Amino acid sequence: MENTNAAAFRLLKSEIEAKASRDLGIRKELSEWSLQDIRDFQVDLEQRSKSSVSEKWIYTHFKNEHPRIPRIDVLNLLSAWLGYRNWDDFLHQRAEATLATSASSQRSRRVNLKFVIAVLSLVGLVLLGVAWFLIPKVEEHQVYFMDAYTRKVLTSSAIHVRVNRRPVPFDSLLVVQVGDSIEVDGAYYKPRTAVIDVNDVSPRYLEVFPDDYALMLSFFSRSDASNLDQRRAQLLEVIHPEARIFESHPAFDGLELLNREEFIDRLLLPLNSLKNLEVQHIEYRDEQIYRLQFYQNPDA
Amino acid sequence: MLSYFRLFMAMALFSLPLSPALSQAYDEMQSRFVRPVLDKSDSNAFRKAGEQKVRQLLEQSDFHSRNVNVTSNQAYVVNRSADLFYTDDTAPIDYDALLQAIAQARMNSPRAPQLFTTPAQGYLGVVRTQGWETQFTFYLMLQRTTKSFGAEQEEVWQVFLTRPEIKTLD
Repeated sequence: MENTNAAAFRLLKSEIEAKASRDLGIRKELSEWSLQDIRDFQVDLEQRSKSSVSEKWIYTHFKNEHPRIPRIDVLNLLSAWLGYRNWDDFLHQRAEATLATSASSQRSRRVNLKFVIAVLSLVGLVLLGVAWFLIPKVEEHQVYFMDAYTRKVLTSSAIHVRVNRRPVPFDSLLVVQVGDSIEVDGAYYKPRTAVIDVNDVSPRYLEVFPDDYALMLSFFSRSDASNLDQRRAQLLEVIHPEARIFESHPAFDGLELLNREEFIDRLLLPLNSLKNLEVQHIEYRDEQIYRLQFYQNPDA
Repeated sequence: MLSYFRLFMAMALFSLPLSPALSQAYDEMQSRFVRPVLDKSDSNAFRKAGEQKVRQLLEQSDFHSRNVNVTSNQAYVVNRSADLFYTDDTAPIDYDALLQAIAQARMNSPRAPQLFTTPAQGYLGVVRTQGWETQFTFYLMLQRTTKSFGAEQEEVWQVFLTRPEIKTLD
């Protein structure tokens, strides 16, 4: 209660300071009032209230912080000078005003809180939207493996697949994510690696080249050359009759131009040169090999 | 249903005609084989092609010797070896004997020989083996030959081996 009265008296002093500034032209804090300021106040107080306070009282309570609040009759006098009926009236009105201010402030805070929540939600939604477009998404990609000659989709019976160096079971469709590294090989297919890029189409058809050397080695180990007709027929089917096959070399664009039959002859013997044959490029027409460029890799 | 559609689209994409850039690259590559007059770069490329034919013959001899008991395989290799050579009726080549000689030389010195190509009057060049006790020499002949590309026929430059020589070094 003491603290409440002290606070109320500080509020009273601030109102006296404001009224003195407004009515008496004393534009100073109470603690800085001069002797003349004190006398001007005393005169005005005397005129309005028919009573006054001593200079010593003003020095004690206005210019310093006294631990105890003034007597009630002085508080009534100062309250009356301010326009209140008495000290109790001052307390009552100021408490209502404070409560009203406090309530208003709380309402304002509630409104502000709602506004802040709404703004934060909106900003959050915007940030989520931006993140949706900017943050790399973990996208699944479908990958099929395709024989580069026959254009047929390969299954797990023909090739082995590792994703990020781990063997993975698959039938004919492999589902991977962007950034995954795929390694594929098989008994009759040359090893190939590929990394799934964010720009890759899905499904992606990954070409795998037959290992002709391994194929021919297998043919000749199981049978004789007279049984090569099966492989020859298969190659005739996948290579366009008008195909032009270019043997190239790192130092020269073209060493030899082969037609379909000559190229098939090159593929039908298990020679080291076949083992080192690297297909550089294939173009297809009517789903058959129409243009092909290869070279004998001297480093293989 | 969707995956079939995607497969169809992918196949359709692969079946598109060649892009102009790729067609141009193949056209440039093809020009070497059809131009009437060859330059030095063309000759060097064809000499390299001749060297590769010699290497191919050496490899075929190995396959020939490994199929002594499978005569059909040996006959197949002999025919394939004959494709590498230009011959006329006046100087027939015994390919069986040639392949056996190469296989024998390889047996005596398993390391692959080095090949040296030098100019030769009247020929594109001459390729000699070095590093074996037996030296094999093959002349390179550049000739325009008619090749079939489906229904279309075209004359293109092609390198052949000819006049094989076998010389035992002292």
